[in-house]
Amino acid sequence: MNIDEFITKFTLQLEDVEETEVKPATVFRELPNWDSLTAMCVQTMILDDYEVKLSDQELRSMVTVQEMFDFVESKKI
Amino acid sequence: MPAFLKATSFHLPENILSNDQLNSEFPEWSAEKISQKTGIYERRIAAKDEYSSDLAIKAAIKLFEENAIDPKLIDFVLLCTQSPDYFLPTTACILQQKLGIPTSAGALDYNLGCSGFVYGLALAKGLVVAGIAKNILLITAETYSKFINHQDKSNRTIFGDAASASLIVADSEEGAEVGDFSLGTDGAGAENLIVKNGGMRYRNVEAKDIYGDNGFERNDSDLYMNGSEIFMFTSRAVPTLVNETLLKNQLNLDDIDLFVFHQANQFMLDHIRKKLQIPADKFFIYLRDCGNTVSSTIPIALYNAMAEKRINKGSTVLLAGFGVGYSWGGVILKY
Repeated sequence: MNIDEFITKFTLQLEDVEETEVKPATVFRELPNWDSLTAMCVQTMILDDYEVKLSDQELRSMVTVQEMFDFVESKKI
Repeated sequence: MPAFLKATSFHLPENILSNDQLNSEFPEWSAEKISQKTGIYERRIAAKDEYSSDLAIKAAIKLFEENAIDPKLIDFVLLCTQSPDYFLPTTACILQQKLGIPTSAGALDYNLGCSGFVYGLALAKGLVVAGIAKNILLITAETYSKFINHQDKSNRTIFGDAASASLIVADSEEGAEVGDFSLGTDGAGAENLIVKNGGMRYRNVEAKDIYGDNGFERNDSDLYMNGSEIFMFTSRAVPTLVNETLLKNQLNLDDIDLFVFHQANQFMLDHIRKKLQIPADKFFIYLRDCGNTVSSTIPIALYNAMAEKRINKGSTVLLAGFGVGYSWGGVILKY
């Protein structure tokens, strides 16, 4: 898996897909319109597309998109 | 032998909880944002001295009146509730007496949430097909508001109280033939949607309000829902459920005229609809003035879909219920 593809999938879960540029270093909680519902969509995308379960607690300890990607990569079989 | 869902009706309690009221208590969510995300503008809340049996009776009387049904013909009562009046007796016994249903009728409660209406149809069809009963009164009734913590913003926003009543019969010119079912269960999800205390395991436990980073989190004597776990479960289970239900009935997605799912909330329904690639005009949503009424969402939606002529004679409708348990069920209705 590569981070560009992950970021594309991640960005699709956001409300203003067109206007938002996401980078590995992006602090996802600071994205416009980020809320608990967006988080649920990201968690569901990760489960659907990578077969990895990211719990609320694990998500809470993360700051950047890169960290999220690293977690998924480390758990993926 | 076939079974038919002849008629359905419902009742909502009088007290209204509006988005403005929620916004005044939880200023971080605007009334607009609530309606935009959830599809809900108001929900009804049972009065302090109003219980599931009270809502159930009103729904049943409305069903009888709207369809000229004589309660003397009812020979079985099924009541789906997770907020019964008592531990025992089964609330369905109380309904038999209060509705003037003959003492020769069978009656029982069963404890299911959002999958409850589909399971009720499955049980009722079983009773009809086995020749055990001919006119089954299926009621769903919940007063979840009684075990939702006042500080629980999410659950207070989503859930509303309601009851529905339906008649399932052996033969009917009106209504819909009940097709084949796909059912499923996964108790691994039990803890993600639960009222932990009050049953025998934790009967008289003194529970405390627990707070996290985002304020109030849970109180084990009240309803607890882990939103993201439920969302992930639903996103996985429902597409499979829909496909299994189609397969069992030898139908394709295109053969369905209207999809009526458990009305969890707009956000979740939109997500599932897109995942299944169901066109919006074939996907019924009814949340506006009642919210998520647990086992009553599907019958309330059916009632309104018929009133809006979205369901007509000849329509093929797919029902899908899913939630607490985890428990899920799907069925086809042929009108």
